[in-house]
Amino acid sequence: MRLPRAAALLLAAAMGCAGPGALLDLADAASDDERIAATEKAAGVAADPTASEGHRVAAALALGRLRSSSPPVVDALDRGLGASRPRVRAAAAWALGELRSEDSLAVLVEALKATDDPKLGSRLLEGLAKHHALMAGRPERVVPLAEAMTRYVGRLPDGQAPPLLDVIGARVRTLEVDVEVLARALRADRAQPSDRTRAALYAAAFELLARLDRLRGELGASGRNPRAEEAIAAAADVLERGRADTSTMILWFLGCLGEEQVYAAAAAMALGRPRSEGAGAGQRMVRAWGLARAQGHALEARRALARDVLLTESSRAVLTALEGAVSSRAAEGVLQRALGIEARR
Amino acid sequence: MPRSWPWIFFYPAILTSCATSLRQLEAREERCEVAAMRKGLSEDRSSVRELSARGLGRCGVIEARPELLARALDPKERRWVRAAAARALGDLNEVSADERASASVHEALLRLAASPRIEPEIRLAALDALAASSSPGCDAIRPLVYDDELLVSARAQSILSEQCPPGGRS
Repeated sequence: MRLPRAAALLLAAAMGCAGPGALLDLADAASDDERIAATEKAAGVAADPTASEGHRVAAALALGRLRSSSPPVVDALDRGLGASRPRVRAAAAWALGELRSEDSLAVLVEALKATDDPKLGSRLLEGLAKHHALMAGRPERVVPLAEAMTRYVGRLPDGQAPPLLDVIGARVRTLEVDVEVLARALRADRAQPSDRTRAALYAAAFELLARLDRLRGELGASGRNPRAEEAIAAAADVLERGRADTSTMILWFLGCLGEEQVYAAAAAMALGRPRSEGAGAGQRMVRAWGLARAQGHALEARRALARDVLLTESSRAVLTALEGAVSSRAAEGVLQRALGIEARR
Repeated sequence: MPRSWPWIFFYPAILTSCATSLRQLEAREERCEVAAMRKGLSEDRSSVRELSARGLGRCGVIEARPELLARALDPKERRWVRAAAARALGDLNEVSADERASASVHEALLRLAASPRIEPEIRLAALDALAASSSPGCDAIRPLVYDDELLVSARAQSILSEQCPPGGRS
């Protein structure tokens, strides 16, 4: 009678005569019974905090190769993500990526949301990229991922997104996803403001506005677009938080977008919102510049210019920037018309 | 005869299965034990085949190219062994003076990388192997930027940005 292969391997491991190699060999299990036994063994080692680094890494690799996405496997690898050793964490992240299941996706998303380790983050992103097929056309899965990606970028020391994050984002994120992610970031910042929520808010607003910028021409050359208006309004909501860096970035983007007819009205409405008290000259300059760019398409922009800038602005720097913005557009009489509006009042 | 009798005969086999540990395999690679590594390509254990393939590539064993190519293209082989063989081929192409053989391997790697039916792990390994070359095959890699597999797409993008000038051909 031939000894079943799995039994031989398990016996070898139990006798302690084999190191990590025996754990790796569990991936060679062929029959269903062998695979079940091998998976159980590997999961036990992968989850064991007292096992050596080499054993835990080998066990994780075996689990990734076996590709069983049962709850005990996912749980074991989740524990591996919390190990103190970077190699164990990296192996667990890789193995979770191989599983390509809803449960492994959820674990990877939570881990990305929580980590500020760039190396682990790269492994997690690789693992998440493997779940692309699960996310296609499923916003309920994409929104948590996008939220995690935004928070992760916000925590990176230099705020520089790794290239893979952009690749994933380009494939799975949509305007609607970005609006939802921004709304969540805003809620989190309102509920419990901190440096992390502020960074996440900045990142979410940037992602949304950058997407609008990339979609120029795709949302329609003329007329108003409800999707775009909703997105711009969502970004404008963030202005109320009064964060100087975020507000300046948003105002600048609104000014850029305001030049496009499809965005102009919404951008003008957003720019024309009452400004927060204490907004610095830089913000006021960007806002005035943005309104000047939008006024060619939107009456709201001209009204806001007259009401909020020409009437009350005292900074020479702001008014000079405004004059430059107006004259560079060769819009003769625009400033005069704005003054005229003010004079009629 | 006791029911446990067969175990006595298979005990040495069990011990033997412990004999070639990971450390020993890695030591073989460090010492470039070519004969042992070439033999290892046919071992039962996939981990041995994998590490043997890796070692042959790192040690620059050009003569092993046909066996490595066979492993990389074998649909019945474990995907991690195929991936290791593909990467090893990349290592060997870098050092080979045989242009015809290198071109043939290069074509095989491009086919592996481009095939959507091949496991992503193998495709990525093929791309890594191509990237090790001074002429990775820009025109063939370019369409992979739009591949459904995100990691393949990302890898193709990084190869193109690092090695393929825009408008250039290679």
